[in-house]
Amino acid sequence: MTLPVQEAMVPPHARPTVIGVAAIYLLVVAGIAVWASRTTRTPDDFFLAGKGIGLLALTFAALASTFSSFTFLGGPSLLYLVGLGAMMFVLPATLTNALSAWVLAKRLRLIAEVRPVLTLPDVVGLRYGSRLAQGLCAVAILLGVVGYMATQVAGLGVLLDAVFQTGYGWGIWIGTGVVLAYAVAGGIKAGIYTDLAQGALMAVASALVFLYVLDVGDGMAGLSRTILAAEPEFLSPWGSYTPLAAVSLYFVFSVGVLGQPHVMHKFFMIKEPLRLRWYPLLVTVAMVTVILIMFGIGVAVKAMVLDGTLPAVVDPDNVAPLFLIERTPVILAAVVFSGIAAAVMSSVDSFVNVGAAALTHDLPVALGRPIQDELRWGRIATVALAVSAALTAWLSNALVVFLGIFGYGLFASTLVPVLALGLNWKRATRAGAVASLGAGLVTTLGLELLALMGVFSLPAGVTAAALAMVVSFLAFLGVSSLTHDGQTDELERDLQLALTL
Amino acid sequence: MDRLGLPLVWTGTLLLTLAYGFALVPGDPPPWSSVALAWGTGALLAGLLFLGATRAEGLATPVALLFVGIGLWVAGGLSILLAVPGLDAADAPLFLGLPRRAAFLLLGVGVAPGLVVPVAYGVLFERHALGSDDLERLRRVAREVADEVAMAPYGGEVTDEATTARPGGSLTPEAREARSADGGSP
Repeated sequence: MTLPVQEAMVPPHARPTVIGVAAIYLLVVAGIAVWASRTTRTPDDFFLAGKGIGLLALTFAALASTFSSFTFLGGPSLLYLVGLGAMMFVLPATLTNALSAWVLAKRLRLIAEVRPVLTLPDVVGLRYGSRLAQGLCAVAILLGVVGYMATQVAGLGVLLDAVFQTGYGWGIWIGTGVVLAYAVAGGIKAGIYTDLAQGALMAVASALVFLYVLDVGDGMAGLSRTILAAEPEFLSPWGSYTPLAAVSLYFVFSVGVLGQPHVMHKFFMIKEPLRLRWYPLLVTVAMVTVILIMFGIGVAVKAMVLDGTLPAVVDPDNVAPLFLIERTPVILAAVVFSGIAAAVMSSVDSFVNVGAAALTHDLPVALGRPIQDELRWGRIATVALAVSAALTAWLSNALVVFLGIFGYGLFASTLVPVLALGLNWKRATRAGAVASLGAGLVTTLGLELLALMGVFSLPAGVTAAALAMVVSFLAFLGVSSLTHDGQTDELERDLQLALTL
Repeated sequence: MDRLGLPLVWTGTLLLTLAYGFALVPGDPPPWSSVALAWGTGALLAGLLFLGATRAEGLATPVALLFVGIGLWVAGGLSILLAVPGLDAADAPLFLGLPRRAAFLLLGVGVAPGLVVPVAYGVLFERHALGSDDLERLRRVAREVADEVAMAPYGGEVTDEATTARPGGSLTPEAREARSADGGSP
C-alpha cells in the first residue's frame, strides 16, 4: 500500500496539535531572536556570540547543528532500507566529541584567547602566515556551505509541505524566512540560543520515542526475533552494505568530523576555556540519546512491516512519520515534527553564519582588502546566502542532490589536515597546508563532477570524501616533510604557547 | 611515547591509501582491504589524539595508554566483526535484545568508547589538558606580547606577513584593556 507523504505525516485529527506545538516553538524562537538582536552590536557578537556562551549552550548548539533532519527522517528511512549498516553514519559520534576536544577544542579556544579570530580560516591564516591558505580555506567552506544549505532548505520545504501542506515552494520560502528572521537579526547568538532550545527538544523527544519503540511487541528482543526470522541480513553488522563500504563510512564520519566548520567554529565561543572539561561527556550523552530515535524507529518499523502490523512502506520518507503517528501520542509526534524542523533550521543557521563569515571576512582578508563594517555586510551576506540556497532548492532538484553530496566530504578533505595536524604538529608547513587544501578541493570536486557527468564512478564502497581525505592527508604530510619554513618559530610567544599548552 | 603521534598518523594514512588503492583496482576488492581500512582508521585516530594531547613537556603515560587503547579498540573491534561473517539464525542468542554481533557493533564499538573516553577526558583535563595555571600563564604571556606590540611602530599593529591585514594581527579587546591597565600605549 502506498502512503502519500502528506497523508502519512499528519492525519487531519492531529493537525491542530501539530500546528499548536509549531506555533509555541516559533514564539520561543521569536523571543530569542528579539533578545539576541538587541545584544548583537559587533562582528564578535554576530559571528562568535560575543565569546560568552556557557557549557550547556555549547553542548546543545553542537548537538543541534551536527544532527540535521537526517537523524530524524533520512536516518530511520536509510536504516529501514539497508539495515544496521546505516548506523555507521552516526556510530562514530560516540567517539568524535572526545576526539575533537583533545585535538582541536582547546587549541582553537586558546588561540581565540590571545587573538581576535572570528573564523577557522583566520586561524589557518594565522598559523601558516599565509593569505593563500586562508583564502583556500574560505573557498572550501563557502562551496560546502552552499551545498549543505541547499539540501537542508530543500528538506525544510518537503517537511513543511508534508506537515502543513504549504506546497514545496512555499515550504522552502517560509522555512528560509523563519531562519533568516533570527539569523540576520541576532547572528550566531540567536542561532546558539535557539539551538539550545532545539537541541534539548531533540534529545528529550528522542528518548521518549525510544520508550515507545520498546513498547512494540516484546521489546528489543521481540523486534530482533521477528527480523531475524524473515530478514537476518538486516541485523548483521553491515546490513546490506559491503564490509568495505561500512568501514569506510566509519572512517569518513570519525576523522571527518574534525573538519566540520559549523561545529568546530563553536569552540571559539565558550566564555571560559576550563569549562571544556565536561563538554565531551555531555554532548556524547546527548548525541547517543538522539541517535536512539534513528535506530529505534528504523528497527521497529522494519519488524512491524515484517509481521504485518504495518503495511509495506513504499516511500522510505514515510518511515519515521508512520511510526510516530501510529505508535506515539499525537502531542509527542507533534513535538518530534517540530524537532525535525528545528534540527534543519539549526543546521541552516550555523551554516549561513559560517558562510557569511567566509564571504565578508575571510575572502576580503585573504585578498588583502578587509571590509570595514563587517556586521552590516555579515547581515547582507546572510540574506544573500540563504536566498541563494532557497533558489537552488526551489529551481533544481538535481543540483540540490549534487551539492548535498560533496558538502561533508569537501569540509573533511580540506580542513581536517590543516587544522588537526597543523595546530598540533610543529613541522607542518605553509606549503603543506596549501598543497593539502588544493588537493582536497580538486579531488573532491573533480571526482564528484566526473561522477555527475557519467565519465567515471567510484567502485561500490569507495566514496569521493574518503579518497579526497586520504589524498589531502598524503599531500599535507608529504609536502610538510619535504619543506621547512620555520613558520611556527616565527609566531609570537603567546601563539606558540597556545599551540603547545 | 609522546613521539608516537606522527608515526601513527603516517601509518594510518598509508594503510588507508593501500586499502583504497586496492579497492580501486577493477574486480572485487581483496577482503584484507577492509581490515587495512579498519586498522588505518584506528591508527589515524590514535595518532591525531597523540598529537593533539602532547604538550611542551610531553605526554603523560596514562593518556598515551588511553589513546593506544582507543586505536586498538576501534581497529580490533571492526576487525573482529570483519572476521566473523555470516548471518544469525532466528533462534540465535541475544544480548540486551540484539544478536551478539549487532550488540558488539552498537554497544562495544559504538557506545563503550563513548562512555569511557569522555569521562577520561573530564578526569584527566585539569592535569593533562588545561589547568587554571596554564590559562593564567597564557594570559600573562599574552599581556606581555600586548605590551611589546604597543611599543612597535605603526600604532601598535604587528606588521609581519603572518599578521597584517587580518584581525589576527591586532589585539583582542581583552588584551587592549590589559595593555591600558598596565600603563601601555593606547
